[in-house]
Amino acid sequence: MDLIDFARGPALQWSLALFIFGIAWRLIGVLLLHRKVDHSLPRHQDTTMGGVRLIFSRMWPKPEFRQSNAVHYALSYTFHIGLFIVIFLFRPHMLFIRDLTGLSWPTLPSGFVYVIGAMTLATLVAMLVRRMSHPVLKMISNFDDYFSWAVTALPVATGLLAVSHLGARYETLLALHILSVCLLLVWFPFGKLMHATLFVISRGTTGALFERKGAST
Amino acid sequence: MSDSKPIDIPVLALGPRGDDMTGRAILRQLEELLAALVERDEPGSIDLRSLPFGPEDRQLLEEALGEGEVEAEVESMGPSRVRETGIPGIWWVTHYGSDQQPLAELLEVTYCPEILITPSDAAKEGLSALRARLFESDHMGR
Amino acid sequence: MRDKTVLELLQARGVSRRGFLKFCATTASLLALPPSAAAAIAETLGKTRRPSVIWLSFQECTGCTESLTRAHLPTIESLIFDAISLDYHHTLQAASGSAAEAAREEAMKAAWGQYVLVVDGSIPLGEQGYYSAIAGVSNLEMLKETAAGAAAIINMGTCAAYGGIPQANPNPTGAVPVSAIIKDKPIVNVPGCPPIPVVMTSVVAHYLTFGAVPELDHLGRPKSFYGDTIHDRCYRRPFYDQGKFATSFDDEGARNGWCLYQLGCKGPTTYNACATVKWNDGTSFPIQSGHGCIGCSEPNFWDKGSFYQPLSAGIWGDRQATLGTAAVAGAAVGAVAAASTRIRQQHASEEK
Ligand code: HEM
Ligand code: HEM
Ligand code: SF4
Repeated sequence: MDLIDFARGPALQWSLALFIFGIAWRLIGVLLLHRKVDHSLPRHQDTTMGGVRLIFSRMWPKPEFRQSNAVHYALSYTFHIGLFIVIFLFRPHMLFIRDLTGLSWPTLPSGFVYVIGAMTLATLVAMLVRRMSHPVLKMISNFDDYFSWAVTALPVATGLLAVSHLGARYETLLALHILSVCLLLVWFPFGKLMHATLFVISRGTTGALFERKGAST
Repeated sequence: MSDSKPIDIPVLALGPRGDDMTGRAILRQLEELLAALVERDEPGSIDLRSLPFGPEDRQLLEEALGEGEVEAEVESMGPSRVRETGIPGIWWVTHYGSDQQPLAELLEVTYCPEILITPSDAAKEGLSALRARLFESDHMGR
Repeated sequence: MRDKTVLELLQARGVSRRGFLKFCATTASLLALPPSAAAAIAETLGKTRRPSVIWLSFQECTGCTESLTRAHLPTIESLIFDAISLDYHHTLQAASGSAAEAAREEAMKAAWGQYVLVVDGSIPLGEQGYYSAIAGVSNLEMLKETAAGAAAIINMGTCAAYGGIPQANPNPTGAVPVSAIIKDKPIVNVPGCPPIPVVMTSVVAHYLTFGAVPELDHLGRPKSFYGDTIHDRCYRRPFYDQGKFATSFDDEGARNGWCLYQLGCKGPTTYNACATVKWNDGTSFPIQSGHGCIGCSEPNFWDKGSFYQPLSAGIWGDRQATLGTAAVAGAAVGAVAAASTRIRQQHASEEK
């Protein structure tokens, strides 16, 4: 079996299985956790809207921080939106997911996706530079932060290398691309990348709590 | 299957890229080759089949090079068409197989393509053939 | 005959000096060599002795030979073959039975150590190699015997090069490619199911002309023909880049000649010359006729998922089952984890 068949076959099969397994484990594990009964008198009874509101309101900086955090927010938004476009709006990727789930949707021109991919990679690099040059951020960064960055950036980098045939033959680069995706899939549920799903729960819970207490959010 | 409508599958779609980048590159290369011929007496050639060569490129080359004074056809293992372009020293040579299939298409930069020159062996054979004919007519004819 | 040079042979057939120049120019063009190589070819052919070729067909469908006999450029091609002298080819030669076997042995003896061995078909190893035999000699034995005296081996077609269809899962005959058996000779792979006719003749011509194998890629294929993917030379590529895909064989996109990726085209990972050299006298190639590339010049092409499934789709058995099982297993482990945490919390609060 050559590298590409290994990547496409067993590697992808097992990493996808671990990905789904891990996400199910962690989500169910968190959702079924016992919550302490709050004996204080609630200011509001229905806290659902508070939870939902915080999920969204935290997506935008508070006016006080808007000035100082503008660049950081812009960078973070750019690479997240970029990732979304690259992962979901590229036809080969959509067809991969269609094969797994039966779902399909319109996609963007491949050439456009390459440009977005390059922008995404550049922004990711900028995020890393920021992390490594900011004294406080540097101090609080751990292995998870760096590793999660790497497994996010690698698929983008290898995807771009593959389509431009840079450095090796296409099938080799494509195999590396798929293997880097496998790494991302396996790491995803167990590291901080899980924020992509857990943010709903954490913000929702916090928002509901604030609502109950009548705290300003 | 009786109700199936025949569908029209377009066998020829767009040209390769729809630009004439290759044609431009070839013109630059021709300039260099022609300079080498003029300055150092070095002939050269370009194989058009080795390049991603589209209709736009062909059109560009044909327009830029134009028609010259010489046009010749060689009949040897199928026809070959040899014509000088409007740029003296640049020849457009197309070799065809016996079934008129183009086999090779070259732009030769030279004073005269080799395929037009009579080989010296052939000239020698020609000499003896001519002498034989003269001999025949001297002895048999009036 | 055998010790004449190629040039002398051509001259004996009435090919003039001009014809010879043309022959050299077109050969250089065919072999994707720079035009200046024509002079080198002319010079070599003036000196090279006529090499001998023995063609062995093993576990195959004769498609490669069929393809070969349809090589366009009849003049040039027949010249090449006349020049190299096909001393043994059991489909194309007139002799049959023991006379044919005698021809092979004679050709081997006469040019021992110098002939080119062309193989099409894979070699079965099951049942001591007797799944396929010629004149009572197993393919395995005949290959070993004939390869011993060969200067080089050219594998025509995916079966000889990589095992091909006979080797496809579950490989009932234990078929292997030539390279699994012969390790000590230069081997050129000319894969394809079948290979493009002029690619076959050109590779032989290359050997004839230079007395050496051409530059090869890591799968033993000549770089001049297998250097680019179909996708990189495909005339439908602009549509791929624009995101315009045919989604069935008779939809709007198919009618407009859009990219066939979604219909299973294997062009992006297939190295061959179909998109440039084309088939049937340069008329067309599968993608131009509306069907995706099936990747026939790559090893194991038969076992890489359906021809009609997009390249990026998974290639292992039941994809949905994998995901479903993983989800259920994960949920179960999550529930157990939550339950055990609850129990621990309860103990902790009771202890207080
Ligand atoms: C809806 C889904 C997602 C949300 C709401 C989300 C939100 C966030 C937020 C709020 C941050 C902190 C940003 C900052 O430092 O400014 C972050 C960082 C990050 N996210 Fe996401 N994210 C999502 C999906 C993803 C996905 C799918 C990936 C990767 C596959 C990803 C990769 C990252 C990485 C690598 C960082 C850290 C960047 C760094 O500081 O080096 N995110 N995300
Ligand atoms: C600009 C960035 C990217 C480019 C240009 C790119 C390009 C590609 C290409 C060309 C393929 C191959 C399809 C084929 O087999 O023909 C592919 C497959 C795939 N890519 Fe990407 N990719 C990029 C980023 C990503 C990212 C960020 C992810 C995931 C997080 C990803 C996940 C995948 C997956 C799962 C496959 C399917 C594997 C397969 O072919 O079997 N890609 N990508
Ligand atoms: S038809 Fe096939 S080879 Fe051509 S561009 Fe589309 S995917 Fe690539």
